[in-house]
Amino acid sequence: MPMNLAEFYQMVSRAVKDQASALPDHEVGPELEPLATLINSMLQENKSLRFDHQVAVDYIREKINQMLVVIGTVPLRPEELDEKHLIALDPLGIISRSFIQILEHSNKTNKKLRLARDEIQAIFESVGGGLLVMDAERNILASNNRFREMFFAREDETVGRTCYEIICGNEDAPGETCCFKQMMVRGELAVQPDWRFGEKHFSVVATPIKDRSGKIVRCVVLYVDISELVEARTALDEERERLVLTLESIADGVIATDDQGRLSLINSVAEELTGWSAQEAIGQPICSVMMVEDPKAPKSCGDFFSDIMLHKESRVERLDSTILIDRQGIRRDIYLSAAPIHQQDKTITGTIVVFRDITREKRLDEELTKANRLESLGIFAGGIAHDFNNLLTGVLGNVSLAKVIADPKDKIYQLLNQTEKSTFRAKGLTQQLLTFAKGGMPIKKLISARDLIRESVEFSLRGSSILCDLKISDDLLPIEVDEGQINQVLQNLTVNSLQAMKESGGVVEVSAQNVELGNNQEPLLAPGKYVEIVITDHGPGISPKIINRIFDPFFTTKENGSGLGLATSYAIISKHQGQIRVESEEGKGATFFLYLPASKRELAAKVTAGNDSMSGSGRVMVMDDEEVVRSVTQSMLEYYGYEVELVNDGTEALAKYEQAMLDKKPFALVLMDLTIPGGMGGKEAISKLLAIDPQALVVVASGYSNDPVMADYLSYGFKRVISKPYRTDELISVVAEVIEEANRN
Amino acid sequence: MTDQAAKLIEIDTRGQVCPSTLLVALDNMNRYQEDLYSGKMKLLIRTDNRDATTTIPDTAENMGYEIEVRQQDGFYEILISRPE
Repeated sequence: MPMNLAEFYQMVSRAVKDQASALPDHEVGPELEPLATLINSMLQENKSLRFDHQVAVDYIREKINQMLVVIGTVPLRPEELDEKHLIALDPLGIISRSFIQILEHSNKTNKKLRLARDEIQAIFESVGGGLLVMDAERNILASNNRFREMFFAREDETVGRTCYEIICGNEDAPGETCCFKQMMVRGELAVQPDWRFGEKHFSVVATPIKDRSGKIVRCVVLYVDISELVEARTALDEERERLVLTLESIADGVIATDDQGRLSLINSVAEELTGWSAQEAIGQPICSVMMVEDPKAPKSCGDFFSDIMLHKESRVERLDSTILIDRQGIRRDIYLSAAPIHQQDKTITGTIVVFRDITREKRLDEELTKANRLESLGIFAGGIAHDFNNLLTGVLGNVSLAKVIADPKDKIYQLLNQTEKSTFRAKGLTQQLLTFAKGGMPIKKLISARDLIRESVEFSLRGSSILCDLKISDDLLPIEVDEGQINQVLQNLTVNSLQAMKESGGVVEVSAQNVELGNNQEPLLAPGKYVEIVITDHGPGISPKIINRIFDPFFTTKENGSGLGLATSYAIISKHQGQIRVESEEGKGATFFLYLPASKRELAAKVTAGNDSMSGSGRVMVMDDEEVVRSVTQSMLEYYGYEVELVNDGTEALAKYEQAMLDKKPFALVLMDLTIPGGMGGKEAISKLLAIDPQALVVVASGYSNDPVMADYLSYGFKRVISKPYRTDELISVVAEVIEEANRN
Repeated sequence: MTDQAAKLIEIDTRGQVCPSTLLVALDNMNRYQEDLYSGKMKLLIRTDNRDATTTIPDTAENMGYEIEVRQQDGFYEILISRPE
């Protein structure tokens, strides 16, 4: 039976509520049938719509979840947001808007990264060195052009190869110098300051790139070609070495300081002069190392340093009177010059001090000054002495003649005797003056220095309470000297020593030995072999105030001294190409050093001319313008058996000699005075005499003279030389020897 | 504009878990994007969900914000401000 409308409504409501896809299969009757069909199609459509809605919601939920997972969180739980809220809250909108922000930020970041990448690429290529990027297995990931230029051709491909394969050769065993290996071992940046590849030098730096766990995943290796730098450094080292060698080889002391005055350099000469080794001296203030004293204006070393550093003086020089006191307190005269060290910008970075030991030069200078002073005084003294000697000859001659005339018992005879004695003393003094003066050219003879020293010293000490410690070396070389002069020097010095020790008593030490003097070892002396005679007394010594004047003529500290003893000694030794000097400390005595050139010749065996056989015979001609001399000489010769003929000058001598030859009564020997004032002297006469008789035996006689004939008589044809005044025995032995030699030949 | 002048928006998400915490945070970052970027505003999110201390900062960083996470007594504060 068909449904009524209420029943139908109930059925439709239930079907809608149940979301049925169709109405239950009930007979609804023909009236409601069209409506039931419409409702059925609507239910069908509703079901289809609900299905579509669920699909859309699932889709949205799925997409939301996908996005949530992408964004890093967990998916939505279904109960968390129902469909209603899903739409209302709009998570999709939220997320997508967030994604827009993320994308915008990402775009900005990408832009920055692109810029950064371009910058890095530019740096990669423009950096001065070669760059290599590798992974931890040394596979090359990138390299710049400079790298390829360094090791290969620019266009060569390096990516995909290994560094050892293309640089070190194809071996997988990195050496100790491998920067990569060092970096891997240490886990940090490694530097190889000088790595050689062929002829080239490289500085290599390997920088690790680590991941978040600290593991090295990549590395950047930078190669900088330092070949030029190494070359320059080598050149600089060589230059420095050369500079050091130069500084070491120059004869001056060199010290450099920094701007604080601390030592930065000292060469070996400076080390020697200051007594500081470089090791000790470097870094020390210059004043501790260079103790300088200026006696005229006492200044310390700091002055020249501050003069330069503070007062900006361009150069400080101390030419003399500057004394350097070394570490042991030894004082040296120095020449000093100091200058600032400028940098290129003209700032002063320190000082350089150059100094030289001029102790020796100073002494030499003093010696020369002394020698010059003595020489000028000598010329003056010589002039006086010469005239004085002539006057004395007259005085002496007349006194001796007066004595012959006077009665020895008369009082006048005593007065004459005293006059004669005084005249002899005056004569001795004149002799000293003559010797000291230029005129006293030594008449040199080869003699034994040993005998001369012993005899001279022993003679001087005779009768004295002072003892002598005489040490003469056995092999003492002979000397070629004027025996009389050197004897005089030795006696002067010995007597001085005696007098110095008159009060204290004691021993005079005299020693003599051979010495070999080098260059500059003794100022004024040429290098060579010398006989050194050292005479030491232990008297009061010589005060430093007067020590430089003791060789001056007429300078004396003795009440009755003539002031000629040491002056004469000085002149004599100088004329013998020797040197005399003194060292003394007040209160501790004095030491005289005497140097005479040793002779290369050997001493001949002594000719012993027996005194008993002194008498001779034969005719001897005596030529002298002085009557006194002639008569004295005649007496001497006649006493010993010679026949004597006297002549005034050369002209007379030649005439008489020729006549004697014609008369067959020739002269055995002629004794000639060297100079005859106003007449022909010996110098001229001998050549003429030898022209007449080449066999003529001629001896030249003279007082001290500066005529070179006396020193070089043999070449003029004289057989011997004899200096006036002479003793009888001197004269006779010379005459006898010459005649005997001639007879032997 | 100085920090003192920046307005602070405080969001309390305590009791919520991810992803809703994150979504709330993102929603606010979207909403105030302009003010956050210009520095007029800062966002302070309180959460007691530990996961959110990773998810919110990670996402906010990707969006270009500056993040500071502070642990408080029993919860976290996540301060979101404009990038430096």
